[in-house]
Amino acid sequence: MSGASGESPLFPALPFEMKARAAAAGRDVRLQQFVKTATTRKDDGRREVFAAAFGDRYDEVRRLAGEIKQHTLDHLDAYLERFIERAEAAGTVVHFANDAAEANAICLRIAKENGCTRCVKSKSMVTEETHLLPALEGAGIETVETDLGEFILQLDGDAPSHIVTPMIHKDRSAVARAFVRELGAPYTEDPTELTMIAREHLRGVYRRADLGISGGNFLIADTGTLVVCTNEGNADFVMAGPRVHVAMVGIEKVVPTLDHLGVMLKLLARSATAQPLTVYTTMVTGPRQSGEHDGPEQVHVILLDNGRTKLLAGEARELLRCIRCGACLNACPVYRKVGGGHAYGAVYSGPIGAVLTPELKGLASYPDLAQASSLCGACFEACPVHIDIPAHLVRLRKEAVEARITGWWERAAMRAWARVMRSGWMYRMGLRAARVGTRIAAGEKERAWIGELPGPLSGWTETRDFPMPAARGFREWWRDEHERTGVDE
Amino acid sequence: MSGTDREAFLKRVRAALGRGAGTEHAPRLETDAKIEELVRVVRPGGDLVPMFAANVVSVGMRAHPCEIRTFGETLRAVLGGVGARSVTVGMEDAALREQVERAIGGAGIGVIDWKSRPGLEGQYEVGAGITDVVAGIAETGTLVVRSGEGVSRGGFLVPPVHVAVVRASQLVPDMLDVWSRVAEKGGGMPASVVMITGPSKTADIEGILVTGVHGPREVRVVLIGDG
Repeated sequence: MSGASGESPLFPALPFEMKARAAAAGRDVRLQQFVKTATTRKDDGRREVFAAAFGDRYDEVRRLAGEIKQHTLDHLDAYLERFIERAEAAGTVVHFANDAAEANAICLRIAKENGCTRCVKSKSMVTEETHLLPALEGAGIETVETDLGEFILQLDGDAPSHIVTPMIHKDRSAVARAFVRELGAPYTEDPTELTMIAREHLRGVYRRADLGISGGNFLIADTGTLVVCTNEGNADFVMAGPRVHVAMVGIEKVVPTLDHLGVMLKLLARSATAQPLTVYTTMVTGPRQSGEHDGPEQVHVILLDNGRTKLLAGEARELLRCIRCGACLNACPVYRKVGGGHAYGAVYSGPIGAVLTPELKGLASYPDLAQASSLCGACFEACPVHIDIPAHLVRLRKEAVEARITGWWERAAMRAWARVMRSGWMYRMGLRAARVGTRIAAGEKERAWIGELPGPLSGWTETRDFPMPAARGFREWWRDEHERTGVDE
Repeated sequence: MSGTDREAFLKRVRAALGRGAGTEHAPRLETDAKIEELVRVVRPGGDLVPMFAANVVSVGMRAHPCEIRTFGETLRAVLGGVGARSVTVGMEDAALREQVERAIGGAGIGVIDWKSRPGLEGQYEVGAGITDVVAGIAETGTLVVRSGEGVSRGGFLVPPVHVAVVRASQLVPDMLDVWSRVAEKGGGMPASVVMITGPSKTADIEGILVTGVHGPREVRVVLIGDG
């Protein structure tokens, strides 16, 4: 799903309705298979490594991690203050951005003040949120995404479809064509050769860069440290090479101490990609020290709000525990069916995206993300910080009804349903009508299953059969069987 | 530049938490016992060398056990095995660096003076980067390096092969035990600490694993058992 039409897949016109993209994905069997393979492998792997590491304790470990994050959020003011103090003592410059525009403006100002014109960037969800890349390029700062998946997507004018493995919707021939077109490289579909082409190109870019922009997986309050986790090592080039390093980080990423970081690190990579740790876990506390040969001359951390204080103030505070591991995406059958993240029309997709996006952007802008779930709870089971995503989905559905965002027919149908369920005789009458109606729809008398229901109900029977109701309802059977013993209905 | 913005920013956070301005409080989270009980994967005690070596291998690196007396020949064999004709050497431990330079001096392997070129430039055209570590974590087969005077941030990162020299006495059982090793003499954190658990890798293209995408495609760990 390329952004060739000019509209970025993750920033569609609002209000965004998921149905059209979901339906298209439902017909794209190849996309579904791609996404299914990628996600089930990680989901199975996640379960295995956790069983090996923690055995029966896994659930308690998740609860502990959830408690640690919740405590930090409940006292975020104090922990942010501590982080700021310790970071500044180490020589880091800390900035404060209320929203996306401010965050981007701060980045541009830092670049301008230091005469930076060539930027290398590592993967960061918040910079997607703030749409930083167009802002930098608009200001004449040539910016290259260095995460391989994001590099390829940038070359191809495309957008990520998974928060951890951004390219699960794209195959090797698409990569090959992009490299031929944009890099003048020879055509090859071999993944190793393609990767080496990217490696060589990016090395040239790294060596010329004067500004490095990263995100942050965690901020440690006690030590004023920024923690960045990657498997590729691209963030290390970004943070160690250029003379200025800027990190943009959401305020919810704070953890109190190194020990608490240890808990999070033991959960993050195992949840995301079934590894004990990401290949590179890098902890930055201030710029190059005297006597050191390399490292940035300046380190900046931009603390970003962008709607997080709104979540902090309400029932959605728990959502800020999220450590962006992607385990819920990998566990979700709906995510697989709709072919990954583009169907959600937002930066954050999958189960966490379905609750976070309406909270950050407004339910009116994303009215149906919370509907796209069977509430199976796989996301809750997968979450390393124990976020009860199904409860938030239900809450958002309730809020959508109260805000009258759902269709009038749905509200009318639910009102009718509630009326019938509250009345004994209406309920019995309804059941009888349903039994008679189904038999009429079935046509013949002797079938056990109905292959096709008529009219608007036909959607249900597209891929499954509907059972024939019994000749007698349970209540009638009970009454008939127990008439003699006088048991009341 | 961030003075007044800071106050307004923190005020919004406090307001979201339902706290009035200027309410000082120092929250404490008493989780040490629980963390020990639940999250610790490897308990102290026991020989860490075999566990560390096994995990080094399981994350895609190679382990080369040796002793102090066989260190030189092991190192030369590793460099020969990866075909490295030129290397950079960056080590916290000055004595160990001298041993390394002595070991490879007569073997026709060029040692590049990375300090004579700015930033990471000196690391780009060598066959291997040789570094020591500040610690190794047995739980995960992790190498821990930190920034400092005799060390480059690029030594373990830029060359296509990273050779890490680890002494058995530097091993800790679990990640929970590593922080005390990492802290500077004054007790603070170094400017940069990197925990390395495998060669640089990606599976972005159709989920197929490729190593050496930015960082090294191979990591060799020379493990001095009696060091």
